Amino acid sequence: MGLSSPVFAEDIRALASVDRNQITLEDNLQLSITIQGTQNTPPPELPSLPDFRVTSSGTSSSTQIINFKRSVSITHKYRLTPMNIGQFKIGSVRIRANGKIYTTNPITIVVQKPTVQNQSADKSVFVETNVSKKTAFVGEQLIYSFKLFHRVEAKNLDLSMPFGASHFQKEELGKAKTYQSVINGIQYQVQEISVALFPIKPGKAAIPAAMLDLDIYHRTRSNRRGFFNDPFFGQGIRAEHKVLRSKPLSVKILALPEKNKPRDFKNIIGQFNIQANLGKNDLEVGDTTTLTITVSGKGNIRGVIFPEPDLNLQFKVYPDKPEFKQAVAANQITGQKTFKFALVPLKPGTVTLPTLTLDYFDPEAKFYRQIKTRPIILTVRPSSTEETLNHVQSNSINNNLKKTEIEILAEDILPIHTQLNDFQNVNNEIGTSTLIRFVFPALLFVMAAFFIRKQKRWTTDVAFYRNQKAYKTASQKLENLTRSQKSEPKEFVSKLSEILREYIGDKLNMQGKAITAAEVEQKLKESDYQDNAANETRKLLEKYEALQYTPVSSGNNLELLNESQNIIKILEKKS
Amino acid sequence: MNEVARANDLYASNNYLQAADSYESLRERGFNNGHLYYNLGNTYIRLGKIGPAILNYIRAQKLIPRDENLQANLNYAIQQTRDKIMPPPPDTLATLFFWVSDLSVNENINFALAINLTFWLILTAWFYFRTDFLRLVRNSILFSLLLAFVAIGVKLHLESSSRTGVVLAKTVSVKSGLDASNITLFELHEGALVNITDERQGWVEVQLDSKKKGWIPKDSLEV
Repeated sequence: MGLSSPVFAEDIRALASVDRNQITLEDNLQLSITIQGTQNTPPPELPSLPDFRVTSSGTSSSTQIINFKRSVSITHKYRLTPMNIGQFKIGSVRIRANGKIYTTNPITIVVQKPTVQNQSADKSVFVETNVSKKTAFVGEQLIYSFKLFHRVEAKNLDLSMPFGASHFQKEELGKAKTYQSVINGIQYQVQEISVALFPIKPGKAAIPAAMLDLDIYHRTRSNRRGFFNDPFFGQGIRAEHKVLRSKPLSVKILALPEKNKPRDFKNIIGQFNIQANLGKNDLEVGDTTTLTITVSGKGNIRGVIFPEPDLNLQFKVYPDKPEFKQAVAANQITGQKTFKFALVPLKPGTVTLPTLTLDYFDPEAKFYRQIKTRPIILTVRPSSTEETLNHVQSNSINNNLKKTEIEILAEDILPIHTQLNDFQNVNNEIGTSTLIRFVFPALLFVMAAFFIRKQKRWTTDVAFYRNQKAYKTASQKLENLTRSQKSEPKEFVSKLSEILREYIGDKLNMQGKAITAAEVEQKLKESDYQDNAANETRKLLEKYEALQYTPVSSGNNLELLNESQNIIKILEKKS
Repeated sequence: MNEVARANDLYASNNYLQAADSYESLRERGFNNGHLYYNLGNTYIRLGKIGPAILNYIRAQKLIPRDENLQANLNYAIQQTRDKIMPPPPDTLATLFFWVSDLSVNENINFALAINLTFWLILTAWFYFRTDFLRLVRNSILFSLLLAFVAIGVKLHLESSSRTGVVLAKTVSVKSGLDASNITLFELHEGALVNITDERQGWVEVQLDSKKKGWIPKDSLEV
């Protein structure tokens, strides 16, 4: 303990004292300024102490009565934390009391490096800092973390974690984490706090040492058991104030490469995704839809900005305030920034919204990338409520339109029609010709239907076919017979009989050759032929039969032929 | 045809009065053509006679309902009138048979005729090819044919029921009754389009909407 010489001034004395003259960077020094003879003084004026960090640790006053003589004093206590090693002088402290100034003598202090101890050594508390990368690009996210390892109780932590504000921008990454870690077989409680640093300029950037003030509580086990024979009372707790420093770090900051640098690069560095969505793809002029652009990824996403998309005056664009959400995952800032634009289409048609691009530098790959949204196609239909559209549109739209639309100077009618071919007299009345035109296809159809049905019957209905062909066949056969006049009368009659029977057979769809005259009459009557005609036919056939067995002259042939033709005609009339 | 060409030439050489006479004489001789009415409407616009212009545009509309120039000029003419009354919007029936208004009577008939012919042809084909597809086509065409017939009826009904008149007098007082001594309800001006709902003793009842209704002398307008 070092004591400065007291300064006497009547009854008042000022004393400056320190608890020790030699300390290490891990220790604190307690400076006490004691003023004897009075308690009513303003706080002492400390000299400039650039190599120490000074914090007040309170005052204490005392009153003593010795031999009926009362003496008072007040002690101001300061904690001095050394910032550097070396020999330093604590200059005189000035005290004002009773209108006079009292000073203390200077005190010399030696600050040494802390004794180097391996972490694995029995060290109850130590700190460590590290930075995620030793070399980084300007704007690239670095993680700077501070860890306190302790295996004794640590309280009243006061961390000073300078990061080199001239080289970095800092972003907090949330609260400290507490976990346990085993180093060389010794379990430590670890408290870790991290910040994100974004280098702002190239060069060698130094991160100064972080400094942690803390009180640690050592439990000291006494060999003697306490009064109550209780382990609790047998344990002593020794508090120690410590200042722990980390090693300063340095990071090499590289400028972004100029090669392939996009023209309007906005210093966006990291790894990102982009997505664009449209509220609805089918809308009317004057309706509103929302274009949402979402950029997500890791890096300085907060800096991403999108100007109003240029939509060639096809839309009125109302930008919304971007939304930014940040999350810290694996000590990395990841985030999502959402840009919303309300679009009001001004013209109908099918529109493809242009793609939006984001240029960024990928520090992992060390080159510039561009991501873009997919083109979005939307259909704008004409407004169904054109009148109200004007109310919906803002003034700015109207102003924009006025700016771009051609100014109408005058209005006039469109020219007359001069295509002479179009000047045909139009008869609007529904007349007979119209009705005919309607009925005509139906008539045609009926005829076609009749024809088709008949044609079908010819091919499918044998009876019908024979019936229809009977007369023609018979006539032809009779004609052939007439030509061959030289045949004998009997043969002629036999032929005539055969022709007539065949005709009747065709008409009645039966075998004509084999039937008798009486059967013919009966069949004809059954088939609704007139009785008279049936009778005549029977008679004629009987006559043919008779003639076949009686001699006849060939002069009768013509008469017989005529008779046959007549009866065929009579029978044909019925059909 | 030559007369139309001559009238067109007169119009082209700014002899609007003579052009109007030519068109009118054609019209009076029973020449019925949408483009003639359109040209006549244009001629009256040039002569500053908005009433007759609108009248002829309305007549043209029945014959060439889809002509864009006609629609543009009719709108222009209506904007020149004092009352600026637009043609009435289609009623429920016209909305239901929406295509009917876009076709003239003759076009409606020709449309039905074409479907009619197709139907009978399909029916004839049906004799030969009795397929499910042809049955579907036949039934669809039959349905279209029936619809086309109904559409003709609707068109004729619309033509006869909605009588649109055009005020030709410079100003006409719409009276509450069939006499000039009645109260004047409101006034109409040349070119005003009115719906004629009744006709009695040389007066016609005109209606603009449910509230604006009254009587005007028949000779102050034309249909």
